[in-house]
Amino acid sequence: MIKLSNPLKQLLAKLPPMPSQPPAHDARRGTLLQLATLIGIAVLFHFSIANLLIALFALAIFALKTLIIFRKSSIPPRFIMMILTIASLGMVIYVYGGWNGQRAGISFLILLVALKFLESQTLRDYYIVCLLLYFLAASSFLFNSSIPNIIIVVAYTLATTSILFQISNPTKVPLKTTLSMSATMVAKALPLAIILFFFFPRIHADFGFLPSFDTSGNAASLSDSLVAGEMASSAFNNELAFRVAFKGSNIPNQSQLYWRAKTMPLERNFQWEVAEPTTRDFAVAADTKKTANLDSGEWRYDILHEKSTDKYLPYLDYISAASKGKTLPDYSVYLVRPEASAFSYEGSSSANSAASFAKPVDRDSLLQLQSKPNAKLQLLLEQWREGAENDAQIVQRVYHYFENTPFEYSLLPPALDEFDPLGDFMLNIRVGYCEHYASAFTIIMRMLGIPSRVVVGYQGGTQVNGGKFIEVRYSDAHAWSEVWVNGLWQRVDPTATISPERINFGMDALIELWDSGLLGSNNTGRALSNLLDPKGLSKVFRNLQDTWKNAGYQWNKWVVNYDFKAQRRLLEKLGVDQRNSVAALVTIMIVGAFTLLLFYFWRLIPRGLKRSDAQVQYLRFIKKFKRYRIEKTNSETPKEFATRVSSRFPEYANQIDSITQNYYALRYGNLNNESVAAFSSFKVQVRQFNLKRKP
Amino acid sequence: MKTLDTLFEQLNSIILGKPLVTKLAVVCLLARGHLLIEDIPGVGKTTLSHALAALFGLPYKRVQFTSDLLPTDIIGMTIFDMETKKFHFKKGPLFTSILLADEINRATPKTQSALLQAMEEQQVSIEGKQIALNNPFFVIATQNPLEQSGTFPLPESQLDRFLMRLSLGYPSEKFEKQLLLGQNKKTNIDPVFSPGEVAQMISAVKLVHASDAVVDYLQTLLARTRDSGEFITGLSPRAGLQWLQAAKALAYVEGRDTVLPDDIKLLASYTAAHRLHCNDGSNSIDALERIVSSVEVL
Repeated sequence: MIKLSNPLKQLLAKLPPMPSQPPAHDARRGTLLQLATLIGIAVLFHFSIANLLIALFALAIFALKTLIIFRKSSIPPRFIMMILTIASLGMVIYVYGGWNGQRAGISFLILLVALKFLESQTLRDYYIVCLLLYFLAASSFLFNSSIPNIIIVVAYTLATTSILFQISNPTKVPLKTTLSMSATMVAKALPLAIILFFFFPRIHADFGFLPSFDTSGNAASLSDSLVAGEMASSAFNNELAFRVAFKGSNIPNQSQLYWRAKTMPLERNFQWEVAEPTTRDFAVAADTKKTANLDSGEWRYDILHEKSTDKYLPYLDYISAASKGKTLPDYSVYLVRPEASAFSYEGSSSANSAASFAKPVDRDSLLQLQSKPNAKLQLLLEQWREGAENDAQIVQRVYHYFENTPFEYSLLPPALDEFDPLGDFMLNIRVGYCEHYASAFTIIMRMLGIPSRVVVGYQGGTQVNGGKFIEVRYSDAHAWSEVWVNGLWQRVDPTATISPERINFGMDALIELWDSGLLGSNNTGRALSNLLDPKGLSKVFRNLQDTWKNAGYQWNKWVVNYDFKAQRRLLEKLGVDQRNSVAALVTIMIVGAFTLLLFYFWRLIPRGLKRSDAQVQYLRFIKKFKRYRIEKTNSETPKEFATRVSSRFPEYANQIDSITQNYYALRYGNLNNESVAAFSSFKVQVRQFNLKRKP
Repeated sequence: MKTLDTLFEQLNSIILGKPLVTKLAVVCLLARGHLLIEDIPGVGKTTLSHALAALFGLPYKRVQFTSDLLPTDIIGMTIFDMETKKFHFKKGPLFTSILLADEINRATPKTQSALLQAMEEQQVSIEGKQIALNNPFFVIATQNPLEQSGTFPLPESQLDRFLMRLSLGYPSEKFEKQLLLGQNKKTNIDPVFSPGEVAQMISAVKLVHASDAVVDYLQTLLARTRDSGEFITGLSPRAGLQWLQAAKALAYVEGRDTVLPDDIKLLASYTAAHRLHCNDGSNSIDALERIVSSVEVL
């Protein structure tokens, strides 16, 4: 009876103690200064996210508290705290006009942290500050979910946990110990976090109380208008626009990578603008959607788009099917409501334009112009028109004109004459970026009576893994021209005649040439070959870059864009019926929680003695005799065992004796400082002991 | 300083063919424990105790216990001196370093108790005064287990005060022949150590290291004697302390500075068996052996 209840008693003895009185000690100043450092870092980070005024206010409160800690003075009286709190509330409402939005929320949180920190006196207060810091760390994912950021957040969590350890411990604990303890805790929590990430039911619908996406953010987008000189200024904007991964073996080459975002049919004195889609456009879009098939195109690809406020999605020209957005008759794809964060979609495109969009072209609107040709240009226009058999020939002639006239390509184009920018560009300055050429070419086409428009998007991108995977940045933004000839829209890119490097090798190559001053010089060829096929160290560097980019792509694909749909796809792969997915997830969660609980109690059940390192090694030594059917009996001491096996293997007696002696010294001896060295040499000795090898 | 080897050489030339018993007897003394030698008459109990006492170079006295022996015969008594007209205390044989108590079970419990109190407390009370005994103070007691009539077997509580119980047994053929041929040394036992050297050795025993692991092993054994259900009572904490002390002395005698589980295991039947009594009256040594063989040593 007694024997039966014994394990149960031990089990109860091992259960965690009931909540006890909170510790009565005061937080140490060193710990508080560490906490202050963490909060300081959070406030400084806040400058990059939210309003300057709020960040400054938080910094002021934080500085006040740090001063209080240093001077060991008491916290401000209650009414001052009250005033500060009301001021913070007022500030958030003043700056953001209310509570909604991520920025308002995070600003409120940082003010809460600062105020709570200021007010803190007891341990309990500091615990709450630490909890708020965890929240703050997590909320940074609303703004940035890149790999570097998650590393920063994990480090921040480690530091906060370490401070919690220090606060709750009445005696001083070395920083190294608390850090390793918190690292162990975080490491233990990580598998659970990963499981929850993949299987916790994802929210499908919008919830009213969740902070809505606010459009005041600095999410990048392409402009809806094309102003000469504006796009050139983004040539050095290295921000990522989207990533592409091609499916299958069909990969377009660099000069085919025209990513159409928006078409601009409206001309305003050398500037171009997007025309908002009409209800008729949407009707056509709805029709095309019915026939669209993602397998129909020549190239199939997945796009992971970074957060953007743009309503037009980039797709490779010419689109045959799109998984997201409405495909308008001008081949651009329109999104009625922009996404709140990074998002992904699929596309299918072919090199030739799809005929399905050939609705009657509105010639009048596609010939409308505000620019007027000056006298010199008028002469040129007549030259081009004279004796031309058809529109195609005229297009040819103008294209050749661009090719054979000393136009120059520049990332820093000079400003044009305000009243006659076209004439100034075509006849005097002749230096420009892609938008100048696209704009000028299209205007000339319209002057010659050929319906045309400007297309804005991206060209090329950085190829990784031989082009299977492409990163497109805002610096890859490009503009080109489209003309209506022979009942088809045809792409004409005048930039290709001015700077073939831009089209054939991409913007990276171009910027490299630009930086080294080689653009347009005789050495262009060699510089390009160095760039495209790097040797030695730069090759290693390039490979590293490629790996990093690939990691970034996988991260975005599997982590950042893991949403309701992705979760459902994963479950489908695991064999769960789509319709039951939420029920299945809830079941998984409940079963998982119970399994964890059971595992926890199972761990508490007392079992055999835990072996020390030396014992583990000694058991390994004993095991080597097993093949000779010699086993150590339970109560046999190592020395007795050694005597027994030595009589069986006399030639090994010395080794056996030495191992036994060393084991005794490790396990029962008084080694203190030398134990680590002794253990490692013992380990080697055991490993080298071999009954098959002659001693 | 002469080594323990010399001591054992001498001792083993007196008690032939019993190296383990002589070693354990020395261990017992170095561990500052009292020794009980239990055997049939004529196997050398008294010879061993005499030899031990003489070789250690400590003052010793011998008391032959009989049923009419009184406590005062051991402790001493206060007598009136006619010349000085004062009472003074005349010390008994107890005031020595090694006391040989021959056939201790022949004395009455009253006398036994007087001796055993002295053994435990290292002092005696006479007319309300505490008088300390010599330091060190050992008792080497002998008893004959078979002779039942007219004896007073020692109660458990008193057996517990002996660190070890040894028995000599018959000598083997070879050694018995040597004995019969008179090849053992009988006379001229010169002390090997001075009292100072003995004190040094005793304090050196205290420095022997007993690791957590070895203490754990000992503790498991102690716990098993209590919850195995084989014995009327398990071993007392005093028994555990003495066992460990003996193990340290054994390690010292063998020239080691740490206690090994081998020491604990070897000493089990000598330091623990006499304190245990089986429920069914069977031999406690066998039961103890079963327990030792059920406990893992690693």
